[in-house]
Amino acid sequence: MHLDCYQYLAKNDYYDYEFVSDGPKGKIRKAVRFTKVRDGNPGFYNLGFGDIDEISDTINDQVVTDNGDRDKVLATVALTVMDFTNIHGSHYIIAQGSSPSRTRLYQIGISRLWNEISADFDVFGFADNHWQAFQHNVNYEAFLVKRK
Amino acid sequence: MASDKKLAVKETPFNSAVVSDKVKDRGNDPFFIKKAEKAKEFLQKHPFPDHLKK
Repeated sequence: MHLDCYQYLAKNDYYDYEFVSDGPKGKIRKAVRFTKVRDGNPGFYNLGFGDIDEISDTINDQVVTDNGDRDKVLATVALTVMDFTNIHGSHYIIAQGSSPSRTRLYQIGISRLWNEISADFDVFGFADNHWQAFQHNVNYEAFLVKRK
Repeated sequence: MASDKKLAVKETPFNSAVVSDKVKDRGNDPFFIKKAEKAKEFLQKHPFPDHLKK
């Protein structure tokens, strides 16, 4: 996968990642965490993602950062999925936005980076009450990705 | 075991993570726990079908 992305750091168990978004709104720390939600081989892991509040050190996924680097941020998150699955195995990764509009942004981002993402991942979406292979211009409630 | 993990990452052909103790372990972070519970409930309600599994 060859995408413009941020350098990112990982905790040594490769479940936690951090990077810094750098744009017109300043430097904003981002956190990614993979959490097992279903055992199995492959298992299912949730991809949690949000901004780190520098004062409270809590995670916020409600804020609209608008730092002009949406694709770069998404590409960086995609690479954390690559690292996580390299280390822990080719599990299913589920991702949901904090709101329908945020999930829609994920969908747009996946579509924009489709050539790169689809080269390495099978991507599925949940819409109309069933899971299906990802299609552009469909409003999904959730996404599942798995390394090819 | 830990050295095996580091080796695996170094072998990846793309930009990969730099391991740092500065990264906080957020395994007990309420935000991520809540998100995981939500995902778990979603998958229980909407299981991923076998015919899509590869």
